[in-house]
Amino acid sequence: MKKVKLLALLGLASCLMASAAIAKEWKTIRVGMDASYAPFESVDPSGKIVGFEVDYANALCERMKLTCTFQNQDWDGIIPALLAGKFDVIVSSMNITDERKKKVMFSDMYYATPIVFAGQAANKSDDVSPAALKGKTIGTQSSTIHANFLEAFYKDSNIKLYPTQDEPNLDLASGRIDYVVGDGLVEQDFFDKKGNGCCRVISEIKRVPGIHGPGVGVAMRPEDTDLRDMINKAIGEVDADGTYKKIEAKYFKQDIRGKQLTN
Amino acid sequence: MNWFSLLFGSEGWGSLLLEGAVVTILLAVTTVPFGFGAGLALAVLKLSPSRVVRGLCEAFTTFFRGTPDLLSLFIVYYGLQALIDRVSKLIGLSSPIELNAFVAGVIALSVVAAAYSSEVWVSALKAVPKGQHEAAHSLGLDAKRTFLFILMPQLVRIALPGLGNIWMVLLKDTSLISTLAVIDLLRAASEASKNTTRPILFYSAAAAIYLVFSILSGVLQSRLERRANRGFA
Repeated sequence: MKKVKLLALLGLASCLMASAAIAKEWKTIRVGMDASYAPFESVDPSGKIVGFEVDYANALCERMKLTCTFQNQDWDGIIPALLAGKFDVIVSSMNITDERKKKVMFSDMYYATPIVFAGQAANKSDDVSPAALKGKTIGTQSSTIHANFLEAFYKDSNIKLYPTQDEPNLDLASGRIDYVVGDGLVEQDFFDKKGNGCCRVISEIKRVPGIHGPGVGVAMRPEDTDLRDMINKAIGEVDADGTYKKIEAKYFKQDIRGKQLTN
Repeated sequence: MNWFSLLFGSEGWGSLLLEGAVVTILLAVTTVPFGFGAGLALAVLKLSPSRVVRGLCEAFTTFFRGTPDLLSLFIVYYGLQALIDRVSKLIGLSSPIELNAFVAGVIALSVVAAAYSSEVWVSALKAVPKGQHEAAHSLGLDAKRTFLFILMPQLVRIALPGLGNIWMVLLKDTSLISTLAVIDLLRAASEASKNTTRPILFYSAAAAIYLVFSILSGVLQSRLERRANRGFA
């Protein structure tokens, strides 16, 4: 009896040790996104998440021979949700910044778009310097590089932060605020599809290195280094075989790939 | 697209709104047994002779009635999840037990409903005359039978208006789960209005559906009250 118990114990111990040694097998990757950012990700009438980044993430997963499932998560809680294990990666136009790198690990950059100031159509002035915008109300999404940018350089203006990028656009259209800062393509998409001529993109903002970062990357938990390597390889493959250009052409007239920078 | 096709057309958002309505009702109905049941248990504990037990129950009730329900929801969704993760790591579970947003919503709303309904149940428990307990005892009924056949019908009759009130509030509190990206009725209306920039249309539609639920709840409540009060003058 004693021998059997000892053998059973050894067997159990070796199983536990073996499971600790095997690295995590990835079969499905749960992707978290804030689907309120058309044309990159948005919710269609049937409740499904659609957009450029959905197609891009599916292309990456195809290269990695895994399945991608998509979850909607509000922007403000997206990093805590990733760290709490609600999903495995964030593919949600998250710019790579040093502040975020303290909490999450990024893949290589996969797109970089111009950041712009937008204003009302009736506003003919192209001057968006801090001095010209003193006392004006500028809106943008909270917890973004745009919010950091405004807080750093536009201290004399009224900065209004919103949970999604749609809301400052709607307020701009209704005249509640004077200017909006955001991604150029998101702003243009909003004005084309829902603006009714209310507003216009004024000018591009030059990316400030410490605040804006090199571009957008896939975010994941710091311990998932194997996943990061798989994703970086897939990013390279999607670039190389022309799939990126195909997906891009479906949504945009311009190239958004930007310079490939490793971080 | 005109308002009719936006709501009812095949390309329209009507089906998303209905799906959201189903989630809302499902959440509220799932919460009822846990919330009101826990409230009853809490009420029985509140009448216990032990000061410690009474104190703990009071603390629980004060906390969950005194903090916003949204805060309770976040505490459950993030805090309880973190607690579960820590415990799973301690006992060596390899795959994490995940608290999805719907379950977190049920737990949080049940806890809040328990806190509020415990007060209603306490007043109902106090209102049943002591003579009922004594009569049941003299008939030889054990504690379980006394509770099920003598006390419960009388408790329900007294507690029903208060519980119906809490149910109405619960039905609307389910909208808080929209902050956790669950597509309930309010979230569906919000997504639709953001995508089509027609907020008034979709929020009015959502309000109409909530009203239908409330009216049906009112009808159900009066039916239940009439049945609970049968035999009383």
